[in-house]
Amino acid sequence: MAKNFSRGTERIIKALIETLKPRKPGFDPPAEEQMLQVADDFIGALPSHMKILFPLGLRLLEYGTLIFGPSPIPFSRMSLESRDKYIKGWIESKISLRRDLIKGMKAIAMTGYYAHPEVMKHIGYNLIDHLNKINVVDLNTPPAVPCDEEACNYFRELEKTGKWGPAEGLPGRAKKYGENV
Amino acid sequence: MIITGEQVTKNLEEKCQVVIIGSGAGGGAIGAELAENGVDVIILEEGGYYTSKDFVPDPTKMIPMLYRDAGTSMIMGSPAIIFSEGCCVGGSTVINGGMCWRVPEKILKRWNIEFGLTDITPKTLEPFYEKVEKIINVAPQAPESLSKAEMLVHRACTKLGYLIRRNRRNQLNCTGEGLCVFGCPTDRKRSVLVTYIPKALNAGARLYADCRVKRIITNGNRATGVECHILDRATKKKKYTLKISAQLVICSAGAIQTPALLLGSKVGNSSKQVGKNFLCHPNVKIVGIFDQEVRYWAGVHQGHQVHEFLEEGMLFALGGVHPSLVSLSLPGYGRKSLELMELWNYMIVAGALIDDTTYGKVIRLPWGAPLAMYQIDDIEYERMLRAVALMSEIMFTAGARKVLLPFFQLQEINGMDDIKKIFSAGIKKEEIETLTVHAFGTTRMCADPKRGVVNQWGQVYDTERLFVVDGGIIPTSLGVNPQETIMALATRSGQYILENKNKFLG
Repeated sequence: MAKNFSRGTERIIKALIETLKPRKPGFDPPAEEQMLQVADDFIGALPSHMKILFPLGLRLLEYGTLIFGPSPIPFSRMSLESRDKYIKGWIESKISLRRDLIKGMKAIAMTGYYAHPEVMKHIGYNLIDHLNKINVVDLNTPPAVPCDEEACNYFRELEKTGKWGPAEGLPGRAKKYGENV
Repeated sequence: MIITGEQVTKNLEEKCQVVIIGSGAGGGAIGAELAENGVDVIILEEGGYYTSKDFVPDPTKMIPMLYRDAGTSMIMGSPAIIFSEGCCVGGSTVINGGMCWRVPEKILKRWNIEFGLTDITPKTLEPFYEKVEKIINVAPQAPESLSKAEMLVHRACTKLGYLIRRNRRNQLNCTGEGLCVFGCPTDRKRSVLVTYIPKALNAGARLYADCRVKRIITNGNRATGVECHILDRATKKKKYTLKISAQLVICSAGAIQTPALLLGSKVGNSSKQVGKNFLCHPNVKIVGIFDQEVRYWAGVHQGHQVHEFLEEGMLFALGGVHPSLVSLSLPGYGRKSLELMELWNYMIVAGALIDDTTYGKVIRLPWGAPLAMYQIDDIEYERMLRAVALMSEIMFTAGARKVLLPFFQLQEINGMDDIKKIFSAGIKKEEIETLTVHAFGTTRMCADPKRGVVNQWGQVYDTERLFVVDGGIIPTSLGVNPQETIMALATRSGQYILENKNKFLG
């Protein structure tokens, strides 16, 4: 049971998550619970005015079917296919409020989905391997293992030949204050 | 000594010489400067206190823990701009990319001519920048810490003849974990949390975390302290009260929170400038898709910046962030989203910082919260299109086969010849995806008290013993990352207070 929204709101959010969830034949990990948990945490952290406006926006999505179609059935009770068509209408809407609500919900749903271990593995985000590879020295020792061998050699060569460019503190072409470059 | 919300079990009253509201770039720097010179300092921070042991590479945990409103803050306008800032001990320096640039000389000239800030010159700022750079260890990245994406983009810029600079970052032996935005888990990013805060605490400063300031207390025309709520960290609700009497009050809560606090406390606004002149460096992002694996995330966040177009109000850089965050800027959902994200290791994400040419404002809502508003103007709109076009050119030169754009009407282009479509597609201002992490101007410095809120030392004009030391005092857009300038100005204000102890602390 979510901590930060009512049962009615939870029903709409679950339907949204089911509609927005990235999936394809052969890959559909059970990430819904994590997506809902993240939505709960994020909604709990909304500023007070958004805590009022966000559920109102969700109600507009739920009952907006009466105005925006494709059928008068509330969003959360539609078939997945109808929900998909209905959401596309919101995403492509000329009214920015409708687009922004879906954008906000997409943000909350996707954060949970792409932080799911199975999903990160599927897309090739092997962060832990990267961290284990590079963090072999203590804080007071310069890095010893290149993040990427080819890039490291390229920049070492630039450094050696003085072609890497200035490392001083002023942005742009200036190296020192008062210098006309 | 750090006191967290859970350690407080009753209403409290405290006394000190200086109370500082906020523990980020401004508050941390001035707190250390004063405490190390024998001043009795209390620093107040609304967010929680965490250390690198708490930082894990999981956005679902770190964003609610370290970001204000769990990263959901918005600047109202058309388009609305997503705004992220830190809300934890160390402030935004804990979650930023760690870029450190001095303010360009032409900006200082502008401050002099337009705002009468004659004592803020390259020469007078130099010692403060030097001090800051030493404390937070500003240095360019080592070759080992850079990803393949940095190499491809560097080669492309060199080929195009565009000036690309090694980024200067507050880091010590950074290995290129690419986790800056979730708090550096190895303390290699030298944020305020691991530099200025320990210095202040070692010198005897006290720090209250989970502490929201409700009001600045005044006696006549003089600030005499603050009233705060000690929060329950999980619910952010009031547990107890804390009242602090101080000889000097310093606001360092950032350019969005500070004006709301001043307006709510009915101080500082005789010029009617509090909350006005809001600047935010609106950003746009693109994603290049390559045929070869680039693993842009496997290396430091922003190893370089493209400075070729700084004079034209645009700065470009690569951004190495978590797939959760990248997915938000990609078009579509469902299967389309997954199929795009399956190209994760073939992507390079780049962003442009746009120099402001207009102003927004920050107002205080009836229940005390700030509301920021900013309407992108025609010049910024043109710059955004141009920035996207130029970044696309760099991506295609680097070998991208496709570039995903931040426009609803034109979501991707497939080669150099397509770049012109950016200007002919009828892209509407309100349908550009924008975000930002910078905020300035809302309590700006000006020699004329009718046009500014504070003088060139950060001292509030119409209230004695009250200073503002955060991004809000910066009167114009900088065009570059602001944290080092905020720290330098804070150190300078600290020194001014120390030089005038009798006036401010007597």
